[in-house]
Amino acid sequence: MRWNIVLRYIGLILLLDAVFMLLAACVSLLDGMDTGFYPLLQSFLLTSILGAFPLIFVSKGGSVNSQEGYAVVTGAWLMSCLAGMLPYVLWGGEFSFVNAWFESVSGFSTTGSTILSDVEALPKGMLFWRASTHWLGGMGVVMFVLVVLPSMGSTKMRLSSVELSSMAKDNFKYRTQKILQILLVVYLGLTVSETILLRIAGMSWFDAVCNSFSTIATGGFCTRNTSIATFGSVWIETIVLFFMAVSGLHFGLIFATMTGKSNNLFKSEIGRYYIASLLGAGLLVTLSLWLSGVYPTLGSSLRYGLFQVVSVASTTGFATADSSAWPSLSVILMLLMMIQCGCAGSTAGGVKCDRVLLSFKAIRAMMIRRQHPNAVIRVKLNGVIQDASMVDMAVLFILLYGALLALGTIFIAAFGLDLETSFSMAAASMGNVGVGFGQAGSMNNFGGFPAAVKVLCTVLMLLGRLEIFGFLQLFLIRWRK
Amino acid sequence: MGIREKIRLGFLSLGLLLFFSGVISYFELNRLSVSTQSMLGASLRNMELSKTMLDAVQDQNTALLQMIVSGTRNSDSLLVAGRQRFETAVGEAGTAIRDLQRVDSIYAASIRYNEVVNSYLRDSLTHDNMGGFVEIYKTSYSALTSSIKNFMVSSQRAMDTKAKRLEDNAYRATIPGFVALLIAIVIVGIFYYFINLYYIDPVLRITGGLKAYLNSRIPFKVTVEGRDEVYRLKEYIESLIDQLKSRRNE
Repeated sequence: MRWNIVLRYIGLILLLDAVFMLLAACVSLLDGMDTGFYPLLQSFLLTSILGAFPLIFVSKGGSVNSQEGYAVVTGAWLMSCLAGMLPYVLWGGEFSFVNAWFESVSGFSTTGSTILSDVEALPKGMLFWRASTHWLGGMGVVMFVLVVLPSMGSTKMRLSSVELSSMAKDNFKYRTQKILQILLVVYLGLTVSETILLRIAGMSWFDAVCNSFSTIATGGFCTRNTSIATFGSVWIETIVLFFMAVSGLHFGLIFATMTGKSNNLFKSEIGRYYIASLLGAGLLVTLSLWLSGVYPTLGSSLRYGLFQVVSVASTTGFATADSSAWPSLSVILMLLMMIQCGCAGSTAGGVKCDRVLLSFKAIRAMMIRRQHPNAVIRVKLNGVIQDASMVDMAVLFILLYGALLALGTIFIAAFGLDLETSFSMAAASMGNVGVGFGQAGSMNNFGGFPAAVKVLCTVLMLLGRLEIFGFLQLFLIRWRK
Repeated sequence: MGIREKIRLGFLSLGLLLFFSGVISYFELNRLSVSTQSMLGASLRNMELSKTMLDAVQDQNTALLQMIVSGTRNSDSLLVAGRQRFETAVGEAGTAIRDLQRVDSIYAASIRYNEVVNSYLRDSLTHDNMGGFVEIYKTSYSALTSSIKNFMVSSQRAMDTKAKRLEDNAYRATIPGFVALLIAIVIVGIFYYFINLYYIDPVLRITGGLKAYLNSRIPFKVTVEGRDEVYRLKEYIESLIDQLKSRRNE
């Protein structure tokens, strides 16, 4: 492996992070040079120097092979998280080294869990940086750089194929550069639209921008202690709800629907399944809340129930109510949605609807095959016959996901936490949801958990964000060498 | 870019990293120093003003006692001077300490105290009704001195919050150096790797290739990345060997 080439690309990605640190420092400056200014400025300088250093020695040119591709993508995520913790470490307050690492990984992986007990104590520059880590991580730090850099030849294709799962590329019928441009246009378009709508609904520009960054990236960091519930506005909740649901959709589908293409959202089997599962789970949770008398009216049950369901299913993690206190049926339904999550090709984490649907179809095909042993049964998705390897990959992914979830739960439970908290914490971290149940509920924070649990959660977050194989691949390559 | 420029830029990056961290630490330390000075100054001023107020009230008390004992108004000047000193101190406390709630309570207690003293001076009480006056006077006197003491204590308590802020400032002043040092170590590691990869290894390969050619006539085949001086050195050696070969053939 040519580490010099790997370092060059990681350096470019660090420079992108540095640009956002500078923006956050500017926000601090506009806020009257608050206490976040110097930490952000210094982080910008350190990250820029660290990022620019390999560019002095390693000249451009030379494409990367697949091993180097994995090293670049995994290394870029790890280095972004390390650089991302600098503003927190330098600022101090509640941020110890472990807490800063947790907050940074949670930000970049768009998980949205926080260790902060008082988010509002953070200066505006730091709040903007937190939201920026979501926005960068939502699109994928590597993807951003690939869009920005003009000519990288086959390297662009190689890196995008590592960063984007093959399922995510399914809905795109374009070349790599075009796919990247579509992703960026949809991402920017959704962010700008939500910002404007939230401003109209009564948020300040600052809150609107930060919360839009969090929503579109399906992150969950809010500028307020009690998340979206602070605003107490049905309009704001409706706007956030809509954009959370949309951000869980395949960006190619959104683009096709907006541009009137034939392969649009309404013709996509996965899109229809995602929307149906959101509505179905939302309705069941609403009924469960209403019938058990948690909320007095059907309207308020729908308002809070649907919001929380969409929030966990899209892996955003915003809250308008403390769902930990809800009836068991609601909790179980939300846990299932927390594992399934959004569609491939979106900013959401988790198993993804595509794999769940594909597995259901594979099970159905197997049942038919048992009845008719000589029949040739093909598994189709969106009318397209799926390769056996694709089906195998989906099933294996779900299997590995389940195994890691179980291991994570056991590890967390070993620290004396109850089963509800342990399982939901592992699921929330692995699916990049951010909020669990019990002690890890939507109105709590992760600050009080043991440092080892927090570190494990960050590992699960990274595994989830890089869809397990991307993260493990790097270590497997090293072992073989 | 040549070797010299690359190495110069490498060291410059390291220097800039440490320089900027130092500058930021300096600014944070400066901020810490200013905050500490202002906190200590405010604390000292608070003590001085509280002491002045208590002394002034004590002077008024002494003057009143002298008047009661002597039955004359000989100590009027001491009373007036005490009042003036007190009012000046309260005014200064209002502007310097900014604990308006406590200053207001001192002000209200002083008005009540002055009223009680004035009532004595106006009515020239006799020994018969002195008992009732002493009770009222005692209450107003202790209310005034308590409010001054409360002012002193509350201002000192407010220092606690400021001390927490100072602690944060001290953390922000010291941690940049530590973080910069860690990153500098990482950069030094990368620097070492690049120097090895781009300069030391190629030079060693060229030396080995030349040695093999001179000793055993093994063809000189060395690959060097980049287009810098090391690459040109290899090119010159190759052309030199080619020239030697062609001369030998002639």
